[in-house]
Amino acid sequence: MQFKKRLLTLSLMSSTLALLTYLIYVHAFLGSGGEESNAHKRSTVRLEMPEGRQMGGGLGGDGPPGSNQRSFLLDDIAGVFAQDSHPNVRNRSQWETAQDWRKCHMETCFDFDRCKNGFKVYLYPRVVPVSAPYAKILSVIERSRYLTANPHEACVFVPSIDTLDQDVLSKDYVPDVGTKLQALPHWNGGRNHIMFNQYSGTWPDYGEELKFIEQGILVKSSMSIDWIRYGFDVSMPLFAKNHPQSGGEMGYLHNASNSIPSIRQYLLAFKGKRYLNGVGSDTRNVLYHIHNADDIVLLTTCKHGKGWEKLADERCYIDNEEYDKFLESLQATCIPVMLSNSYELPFSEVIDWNKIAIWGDERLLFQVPPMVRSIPQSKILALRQQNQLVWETYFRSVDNIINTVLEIVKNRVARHLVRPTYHWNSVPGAHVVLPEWSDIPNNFPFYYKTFGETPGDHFTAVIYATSAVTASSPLFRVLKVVAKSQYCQKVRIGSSKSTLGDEPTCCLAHNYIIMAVLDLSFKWR
Amino acid sequence: MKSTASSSASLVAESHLQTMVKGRLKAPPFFTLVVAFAVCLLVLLVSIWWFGPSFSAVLFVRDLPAELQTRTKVYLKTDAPVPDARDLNCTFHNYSCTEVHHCGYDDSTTISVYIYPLQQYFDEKGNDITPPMSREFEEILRVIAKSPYYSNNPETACVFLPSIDLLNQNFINPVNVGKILASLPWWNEGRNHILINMLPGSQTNGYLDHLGVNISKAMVAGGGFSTITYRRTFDLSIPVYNPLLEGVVLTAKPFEEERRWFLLSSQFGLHPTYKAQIEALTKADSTVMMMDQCDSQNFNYSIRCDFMGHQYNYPEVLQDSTFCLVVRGNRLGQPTFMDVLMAGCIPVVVADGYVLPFSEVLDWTRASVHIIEEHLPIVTEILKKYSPERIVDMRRQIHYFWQRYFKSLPEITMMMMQIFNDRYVPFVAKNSDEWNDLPNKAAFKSPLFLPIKAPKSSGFTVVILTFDRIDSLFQVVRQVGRVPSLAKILIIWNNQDIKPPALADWPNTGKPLKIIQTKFNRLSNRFYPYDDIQTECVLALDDDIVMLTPDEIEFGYEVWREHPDRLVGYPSRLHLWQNDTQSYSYESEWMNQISMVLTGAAFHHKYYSFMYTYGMPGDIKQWVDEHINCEDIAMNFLVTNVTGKAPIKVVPRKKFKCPECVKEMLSASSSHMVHRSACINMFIELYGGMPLKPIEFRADPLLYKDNLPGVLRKFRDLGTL
Repeated sequence: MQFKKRLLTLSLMSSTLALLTYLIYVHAFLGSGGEESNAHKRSTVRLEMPEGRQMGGGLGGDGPPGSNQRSFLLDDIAGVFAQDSHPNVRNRSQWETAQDWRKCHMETCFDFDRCKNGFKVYLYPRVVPVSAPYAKILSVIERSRYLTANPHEACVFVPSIDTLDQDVLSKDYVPDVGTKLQALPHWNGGRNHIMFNQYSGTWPDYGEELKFIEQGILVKSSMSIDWIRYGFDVSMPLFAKNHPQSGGEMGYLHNASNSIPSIRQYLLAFKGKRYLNGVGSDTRNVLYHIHNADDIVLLTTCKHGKGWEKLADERCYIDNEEYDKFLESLQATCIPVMLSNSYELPFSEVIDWNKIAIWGDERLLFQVPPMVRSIPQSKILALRQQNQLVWETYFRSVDNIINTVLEIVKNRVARHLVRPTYHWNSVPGAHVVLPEWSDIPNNFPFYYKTFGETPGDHFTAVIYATSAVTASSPLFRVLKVVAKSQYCQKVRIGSSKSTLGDEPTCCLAHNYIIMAVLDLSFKWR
Repeated sequence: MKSTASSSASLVAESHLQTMVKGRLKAPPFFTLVVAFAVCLLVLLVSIWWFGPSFSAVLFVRDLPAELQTRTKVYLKTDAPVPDARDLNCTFHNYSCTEVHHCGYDDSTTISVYIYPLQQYFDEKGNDITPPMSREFEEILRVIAKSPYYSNNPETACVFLPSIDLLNQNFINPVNVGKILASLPWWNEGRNHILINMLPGSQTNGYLDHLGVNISKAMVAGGGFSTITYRRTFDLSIPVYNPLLEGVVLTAKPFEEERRWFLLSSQFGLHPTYKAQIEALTKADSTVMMMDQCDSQNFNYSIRCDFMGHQYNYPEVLQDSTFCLVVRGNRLGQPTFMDVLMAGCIPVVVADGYVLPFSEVLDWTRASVHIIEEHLPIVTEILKKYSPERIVDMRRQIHYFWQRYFKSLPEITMMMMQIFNDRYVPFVAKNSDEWNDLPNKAAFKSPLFLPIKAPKSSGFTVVILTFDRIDSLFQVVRQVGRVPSLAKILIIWNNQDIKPPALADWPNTGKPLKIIQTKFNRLSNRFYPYDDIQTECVLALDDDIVMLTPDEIEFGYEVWREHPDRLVGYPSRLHLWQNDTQSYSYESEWMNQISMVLTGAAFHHKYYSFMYTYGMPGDIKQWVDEHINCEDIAMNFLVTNVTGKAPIKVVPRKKFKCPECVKEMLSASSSHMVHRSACINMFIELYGGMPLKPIEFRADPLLYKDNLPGVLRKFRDLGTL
């Protein structure tokens, strides 16, 4: 009897509990205002998912089933997948640029229609003499394979007006370039124009000086991250007036040791500006504290912008003599330790600087020596070689620098021939890897090893015959010999150079073919 | 019938009995139960009263660390401060926007992330203004809290993560969120704070392409940035995660397979202009397909319909197309991007100015096509130019990206944290190859990848390993001392019992000579990267190789300079597969191929000494030292394994030690050959494959067989057999 009583009480208790739990559930999940509508929305939405898919945060797997069901997306289905309601698609991507040319990007400030016929560069005729460095730049473009004399088939334009030096205090300063540019026949607000600049008054506020670029692409040295219109402008290295036009010096690895550990005397050296005022000046000034003249050498300069003389201290004058450009460390296969605070590295759009430089933070200067010492030898070896590759491919002459600029712009307008990062950042570098040849690595002779591929095991013999073909012609003897090879897949005979040149198909159709050219005129004459 | 009933009745009775027995044995006293019930009731009642309407938001975040679950109530005044507007000048290196002194604390290369405890915020009237917590944000918090990045100490933390769900701007009140952010104890104008947002903007503000909240100097990991709103090096572009894919399992399709359609558009909500353009494409080309909702009144994500009304399963249908369009909608970032990646369809992104997810580190040219919106009408023309091989490559790349970086919220979250980590600790940041290259066992990343000819000026160092054969050692020293490019002689005296002869007793070669007496008699001592080796080129030489001539050695050095990444040596060997034993054997016979050169006389780059000492797989180095054998085989394995290139044999000489012998066997006994074969087979196991490569040529001086007067030939003194 007493047992039954207890049973009754127990069941009463449990039913009360159940009722309460239900009440809480209703209260919590459906009770609050905003969520009610969402829950309602969901019930009308058919997601057709297996049971439990949207339950319990399915992914983590460890949330209890039936836990928080709110989703940032599922509860806003109607909003997320709503019909795109913008009145005019064309205006949408253009309007911000129309308001402010500093917001230019390729899609809004560049006329892609002009590049329908491929990447062609039009150079405006020179009217007035230009500075020596700008003459070097123009000379590269004049010799470029992309040059066209017809402005109507041009994709990009290069003005012959010297914009290189816009520092009003400089002797190469060209005044009033804005008006001169606007007078150009194809100017069109600067669209598709490439303008070069090396000096532009005071860092970092060179915006005022460079107003003339409008919707043109600015190729500038020492750009800051804040200012560059990334993906539109190009940051190029600052080169000296005597930087060679072509050729240029090889990196030091060609005549210095590539040994490990490096037999260099210094572990760390610094050359750069030491700001006397403004952002970063304090930390820059502390640099000399980690200078120990033993394995760490730090050289700084105070020369920057205008008015540095007023603030100069006695260390400056010694510093300035020692200061040189960033390029130097590259050529010397020194591994740059980058402490720069907002320097947009040259060609950063395509060059992977993580493969070249070690990055430190100016604000953590005292961590730099232990950090540099902690870099493993294998990494130093790799950095050093990469350094060399990049110097020799993209920096060592004005030709290399400007051709790199052209390749970068070309890469942006290429519709399907966009280069992957390894074209730029692995041996032999982008200038010899032409994307027109192929869009896969295995069709180039350079990448077999790095992509784990092997060349095909057949070759095509291309025989160049100059003499008339008769029954006793040496051509037949050659054919017999060649045909004996088990690897010869195809023989192609050309009677003149032009037919050979006209038939790239022999190479494209059989991608894995080694070409053996037997020049009969040489061998059998 | 009857009997069955009675038996079941008896069963019931028995079970009753059991219950009663159990009850008596195990049930706690009745009053305890009542008390427990009362306590439960009390707790429930209190919690209902306490947590009120947003009970659900905090109830189930169970597996977060306890310290995050304080659930304190915070009341914010109507005039509570709000942060300044988003600071557009912020970059990572802008001192006023980030603070790095707590990052890389104690030399750690992992940043520490502090997560604010979950709190509830109320306005003055007592209205709950906490943005509702979604399970996706919960998941993100959970992943970070369980990751090595998590720190519960705000004093030493590098970055801060407010536990406020901002994933969908539609669900938040920007003003209230601003107040909440400003009230955070470590806010400091937002410095080092990461805010995570996937759906920026809302209908009311014309779908801004960034989180429309006053956040001052906080960083945003956001989906749908445009190049204009994206603060490069500071913000981070992330994908718009699609929870509709949860639980969807797609069967993998072969990368090489032909797909039914060439181009497919199956996205909802396209702009009518683009819809019309795509429709025109489908009419021009039957392999272009366009699909939309089947029933505009009834949202169903798992099916799509074409113009004819044919129904297809989604996202499965994406697997039937080579390219898939991802067009901008109201927002730049579209969840469709995730669907397409998952299905292994190549995304064709048509969204001007869109910053692709993780594009800071991922090379999207390998896995996607990006065209400008203006080019949508000619998209087919552009896509047709992609070669079939490229398409296969891209599918592989997509699969890799998806599996590694996008598959689910944990992957996305960890990717986010990794990128932030790389910014704060840049000297350990990964490079583009490490982010993008597919793992490939057949690929070689040679440590000496730059094809340069080593300079002649520095010369080479000869490292001679010796024990006690003084006579032949001195002869070797005299011979090698006459080589013009020799820079230094380094004697590794491996005998601990006998002291090396005094320096005065050594043959005078005019070259610097240094003797290092080792502490232990180990074979690996010959490959230690001694500081005394100051050239990059090392000639390893045994003390009994008396027959090599200076001409041969000088010529060998010239060959090495052309191939500084390879082993260049004189005696050669080959590995051969034996069908009867199903294993490799070691061959010293003269064959048409070689795959090894013996390091008793071979040039190598000093880096390989370094690798041999510090970077050899498994316990090969130790094994070699214990068995006093096979160090040369180990070196050949090592170099060929990293470069993929066979060693080079120089000059025709086949005898090295014994001028009198008819045919020389370096180590004649058959047991020696057995041991060497065993070494090869053991190394194969440790390397997980056979790295050695046979090669069919050797390097000889150009005029060595020509019948020319000696003066015209540079290298004359070459041995033949």
